[in-house]
Amino acid sequence: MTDEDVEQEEPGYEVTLPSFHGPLDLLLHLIKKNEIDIYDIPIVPITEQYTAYLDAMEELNLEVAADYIYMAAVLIHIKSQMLLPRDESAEGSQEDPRAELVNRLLEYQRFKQVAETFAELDVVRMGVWPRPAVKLPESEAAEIDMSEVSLFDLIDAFRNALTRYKLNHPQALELKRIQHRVSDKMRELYSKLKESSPIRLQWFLEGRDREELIAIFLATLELVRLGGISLRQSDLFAEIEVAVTAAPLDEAQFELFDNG
Amino acid sequence: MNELRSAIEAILFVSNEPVTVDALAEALGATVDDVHAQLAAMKTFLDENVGGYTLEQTAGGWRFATRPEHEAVLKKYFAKKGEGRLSMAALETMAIVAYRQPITAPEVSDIRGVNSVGVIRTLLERHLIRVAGRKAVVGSPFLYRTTREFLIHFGLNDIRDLPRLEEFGDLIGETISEDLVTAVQSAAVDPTE
Repeated sequence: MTDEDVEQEEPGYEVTLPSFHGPLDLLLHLIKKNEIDIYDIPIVPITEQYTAYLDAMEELNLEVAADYIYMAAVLIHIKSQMLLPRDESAEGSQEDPRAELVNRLLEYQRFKQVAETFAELDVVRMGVWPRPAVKLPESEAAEIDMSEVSLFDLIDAFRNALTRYKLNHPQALELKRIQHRVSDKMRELYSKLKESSPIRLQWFLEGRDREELIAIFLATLELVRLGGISLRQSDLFAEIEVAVTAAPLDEAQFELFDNG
Repeated sequence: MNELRSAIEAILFVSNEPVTVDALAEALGATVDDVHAQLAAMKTFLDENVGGYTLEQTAGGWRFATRPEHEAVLKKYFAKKGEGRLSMAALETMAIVAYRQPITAPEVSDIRGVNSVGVIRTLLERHLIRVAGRKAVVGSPFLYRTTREFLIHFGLNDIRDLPRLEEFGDLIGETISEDLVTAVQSAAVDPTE
């Protein structure tokens, strides 16, 4: 994908290469340039021009992505279908071999226009700054709009804990046996939550070593997946909170998560 | 200045996120209509006096924000590293997710005719889209949706504010998109609607 405009004049062909965002974009460009009716694309010349662009891209040492080559194959396939004698008698109206491509082009064109609109909004909105977020005094939750915790947030929390652990524990080569089982961690976290919920995830991770953190990370994901716990975060800078859900879990099944 | 209005202003001043009218009304024991009226009055006041900031309605709530004309000054003063504008590939992907959500990465790639996995990752990292479950097909790929951050980033109040996709045609599309841009630009959202 070329992002910057690359313009190059070639004697003979006179091919210019603005930045294209894919094969459909290139096709639309050719259709516009030649003032072609999109519903009646002359496949032969378009295929020739399309492949000429790909050749030019190669000559310029631009990597021609597989997506472009795939589209060339599609065009050639349509071309061959167009050459086949149409069996007019068989079915009243046979589907035009170009129909699917035309629909894709039209759909893509719409999204391209939306993207252009978004680009303008992007420019306008980049100039609008809110007051930077600050830490607000600890609130007793409830009314705060809890936004979802993304996997990235969860990974961040564990990464923070790992970084802190690394700072406190300089590296040494050591071979250890597996000490921390995912099932144990599931049980530990789950029973802690049954005593009191919610708890702060960072607090639960405090003082654990690397292997243990990994086991807890996996255990947390499994418990969420089983629907036994939920993770919440009151957005920006907030700590992740872990809480039990209303649905009780059968703790016997935790054993299943110890394979490997 | 009346009590309600200054109380609203105080809450908005401290809030990190756009605050909904309902939340303000509940916190202040006022009616939704009264809060609306005060927000409208406050916005009119701020816009007429063209101060350093304005009140804007986005993602279903209200917040204070600077005006676009101060971008250069702010950038210079804060030497902002900035997140950078979104690439055309990212914007195309954003457009597809916005209109076709929930949607999987292969479906996005199919519409764009280009592998879009990397772009989707970028949008996820910028919190403009989020994972919203998996699709019940072979390989159970992730489904993606737009986020609140998406609304805020593009200055939309609600996902339903987007023009219908069909309206983006050959020629009319341009006027539609211009309309949307001017609407967002002037942020002339009528709070009493």
